[in-house]
Amino acid sequence: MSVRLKIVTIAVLPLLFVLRLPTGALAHGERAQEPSLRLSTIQWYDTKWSTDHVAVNGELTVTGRFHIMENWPLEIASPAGLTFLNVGVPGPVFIRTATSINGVNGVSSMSLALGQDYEYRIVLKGRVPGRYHVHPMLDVRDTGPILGPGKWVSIAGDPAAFRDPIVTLTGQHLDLSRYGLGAIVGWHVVWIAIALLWLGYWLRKPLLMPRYEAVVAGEGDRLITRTDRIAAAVILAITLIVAVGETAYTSMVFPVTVPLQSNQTMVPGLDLPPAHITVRAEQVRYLVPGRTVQFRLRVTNQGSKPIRFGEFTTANLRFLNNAVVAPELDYPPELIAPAGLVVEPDEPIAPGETEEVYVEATSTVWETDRLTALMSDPTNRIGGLFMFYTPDHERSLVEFSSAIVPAFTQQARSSG
Amino acid sequence: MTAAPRARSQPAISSPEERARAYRWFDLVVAVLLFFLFMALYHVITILTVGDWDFWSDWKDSRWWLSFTPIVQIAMPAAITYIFWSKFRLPFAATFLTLCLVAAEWINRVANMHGWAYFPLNFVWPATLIPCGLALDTTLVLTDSFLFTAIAGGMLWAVLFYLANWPLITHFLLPVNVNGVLMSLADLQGFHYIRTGTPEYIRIINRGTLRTFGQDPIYLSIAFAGFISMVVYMLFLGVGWIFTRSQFSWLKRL
Repeated sequence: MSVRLKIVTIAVLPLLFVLRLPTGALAHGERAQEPSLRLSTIQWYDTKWSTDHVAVNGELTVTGRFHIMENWPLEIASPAGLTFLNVGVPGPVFIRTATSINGVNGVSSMSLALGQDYEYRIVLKGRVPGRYHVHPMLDVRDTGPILGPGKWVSIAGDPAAFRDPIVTLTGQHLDLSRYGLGAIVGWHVVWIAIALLWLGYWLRKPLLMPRYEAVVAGEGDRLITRTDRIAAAVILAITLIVAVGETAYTSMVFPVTVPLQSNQTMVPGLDLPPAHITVRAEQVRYLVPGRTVQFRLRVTNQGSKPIRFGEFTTANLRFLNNAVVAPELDYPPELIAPAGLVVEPDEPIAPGETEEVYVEATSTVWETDRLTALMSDPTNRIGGLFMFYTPDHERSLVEFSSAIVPAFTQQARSSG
Repeated sequence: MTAAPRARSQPAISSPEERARAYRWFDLVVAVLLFFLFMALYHVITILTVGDWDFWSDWKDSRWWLSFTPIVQIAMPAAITYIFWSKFRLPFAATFLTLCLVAAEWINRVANMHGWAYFPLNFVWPATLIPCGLALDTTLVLTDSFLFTAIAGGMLWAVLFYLANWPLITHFLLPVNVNGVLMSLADLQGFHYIRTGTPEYIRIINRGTLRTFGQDPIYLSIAFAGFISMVVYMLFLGVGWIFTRSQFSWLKRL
């Protein structure tokens, strides 16, 4: 192979490799987050997207609840410090017009309590056409973003038609997507023009070599002439006059302003009725060959109605006991394990009774969502929410947290 | 076989006019190269030091933005000014640098933050340091002294940063009622235009009790920035001095 051919090959091959890659990001790297962060921190549930198709300027509302694990990993900073309800989207392809947590306005950062449930609402407005993965998200200070479940939503229409109308407290009506840009560009142009005037004054003269020779010859002081000093005085005067004039004019036009605002609020948890159910883990293990998490549980029903296992949810994955709960039709199917939740015995647990129950959650998502990378973590724990249902479909949520042990052979399954 | 006789070398420049022309071409080439070099260097320094305060309008506060930006940004103009002035008696280094910076920032904001990341330009506009650079350069010409330039120019550097940029952010300090919470338009931009990696609590704005000394920390911020700018200017003149000394060539190589 000639040298030229080699060079062409080396240049073209990476290009071909790049061209065959997908051009858009498929999601937000939620699978990249370490398993303990997804399994043991925030459990999102009841997430709903009002639509999966919006027009530019159209509205999308994401609602739902999340449970903050009481058994929060000690090595991870918790929302009891500071947190902010955010949205996992690829930048401002939507704008966020309103958010709330338990009815408290979510524009500011918040402090939330461990072991509590919160109800959130996020209102978005379509801005840039495309198809995007939309997640609710909690940014936790010193931890980072913790993503909720995501759903693909399309925005269609003309991006130039996007408007962001605002009415200020001074009565001004404006479009926040464009407002003020003219003044910013205008003042930048003014300053660039003055700078070019000053630079032009010097650049018209011979610059480097003749001046260097003069400085080396000890005649540097003669290089700055009286005209240069006058020019400098004029430019300095123009600079000061324009700067003071700019400030005075703007102060006159905007007599009422406020400083940037920053607020931090404590939000109490939802006032949910107590579950009256205790779930104790006898043994929890991950069967690697079967991609199955097996739970041996001791469940006590301290309530007044019989209960059945309905769902186990963790890391945005849902394992449903199909005999009790049917999946919502518009919920992202990739987040619901097809094999569901196996419960043995799948009988109602009567009030006052304690039962030993074997529960199995099988799905390839343990692998594909990289949750089994847990085995390489220093802390092997699993957390989640068990949802129990009464015959009249009342739901009770029970936080679950336990150590988990991997089983690497098929034999381990049969002995389980 | 005998080799062909080699032509005698002729001088490339044979007249003062040709020499002057060659010098002008040299000036032009160096100016263009320096423009791009300074764009890159000063912009990287700005990103690494001022960062978010310059990126977003909801970071442009009356305390940190107004004090921190002038203090860290005067360093490079000071060093380059020393080289330009001591070797060429050219008093436009600060203006040139600030012009390079504003050009680089607008390219970044338009192509990157607006074109690729979809942020509206009125949310990601850069501050300008051009009047500050003009003040430094002209003060140097008028005083012919680094010390007086540090004192007068350093203070003007900070004052002019406020005078030239506060009117820009003022447009975005109009009050808005957002579902029962008072916000400025800049805060509202930060809320509307979603940044997944920059949650609200990360902002470093007006925190603390500086208002105890008056209603607004602006004037304290400017005075503080001006004083520290003087010191930083002198320090970085020293860096420029190092770069003009042959005995520090090992340091430059480093």
